[in-house]
Amino acid sequence: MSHLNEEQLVDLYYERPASSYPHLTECRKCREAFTDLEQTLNAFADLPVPEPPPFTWREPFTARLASRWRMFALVPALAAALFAAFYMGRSTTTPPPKLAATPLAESGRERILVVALGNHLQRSEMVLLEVANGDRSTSPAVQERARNLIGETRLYRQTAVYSGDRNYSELLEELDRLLTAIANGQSQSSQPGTEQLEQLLFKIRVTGSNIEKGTEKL
Amino acid sequence: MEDFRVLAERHHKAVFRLAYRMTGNQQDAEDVVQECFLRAYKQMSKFDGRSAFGTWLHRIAANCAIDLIRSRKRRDTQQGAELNPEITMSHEPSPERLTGSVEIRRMLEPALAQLSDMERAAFVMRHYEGLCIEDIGATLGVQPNAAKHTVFRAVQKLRRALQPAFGVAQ
Repeated sequence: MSHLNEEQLVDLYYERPASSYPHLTECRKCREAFTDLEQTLNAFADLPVPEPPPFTWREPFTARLASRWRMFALVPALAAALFAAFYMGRSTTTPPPKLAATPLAESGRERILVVALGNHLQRSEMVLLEVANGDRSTSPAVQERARNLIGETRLYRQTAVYSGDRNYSELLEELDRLLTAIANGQSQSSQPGTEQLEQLLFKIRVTGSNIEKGTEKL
Repeated sequence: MEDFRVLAERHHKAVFRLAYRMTGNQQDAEDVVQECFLRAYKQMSKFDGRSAFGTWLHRIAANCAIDLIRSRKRRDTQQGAELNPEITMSHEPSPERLTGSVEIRRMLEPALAQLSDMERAAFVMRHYEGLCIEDIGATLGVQPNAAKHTVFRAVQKLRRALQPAFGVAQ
């Protein structure tokens, strides 16, 4: 009679093949060996396992899951950053050499910006003039034009703040406030006063003039 | 996503138990749970429904645990901190002390710590998860014969480790 080897006993423990039973019932030695093995392996059922913490979507998990979506979300953010960098870039990038024919600014990019700002101030000036010269009851058309100028004004102001140009930022902040008041068609009492309008118009004209002469930079 | 969260909550304890038994470490087990559910979520389209979701999930968990164990081993080796398994068993109690099951339970974890990573993974899958040799081989990336022999080696080592408790002459 050939006895079961250890490997067969392990198979027997896990798979219990029926073919092994007759021998096991007949052979005392194998039966004892199997009982020993069983005793040892059964002990591992008692291996203590700590209670797991309540399941939570831990940050790395959620972060990694969200990563693919975050990439898409980054697109507009990157676009916005590029847009801002375009206007603010002069402080972080080496400007191109000065061109003799472009006295307005240090670089082409700045020149474009300053010219654009000059145009914006001219359009704003026209709106303010209409309000100042009228009976101060703003028409819907003027309100609409003022409303259209607000977003652009804020963008220029933000750029001026980032680039540390206090004169521009203060001027544009004041312009923003007046344009908002006009766009909202507020009551006469809350409309900008004549003196306030004239002061702002004066500042805008001076700034516009300086831009034309190429003495102003943003 | 919400459906998957429900499934994850339902299975996470079982996955944690498997991970803990394979890694022997609570922190690692928690990492395995997270990684397992992440992989499962990404591979959800590959789940063909031929096996139960729990079985499929446990297979992923076993793979995650093996990956973690391997990376941990590489890290420990690089840091020269690989433990000598013999050292972990240097405090074997005398047979006289091993009268109660409490003492035996205390020997289980050190006994498992003696196993190689592959042996431990194979043993856990065989003993606790009830996986067949073919599935264990597939999970470990080895032939069934090799998987069977790995389980056998693990059992031999465990028997030797618990010999003082049971007085078995191997």
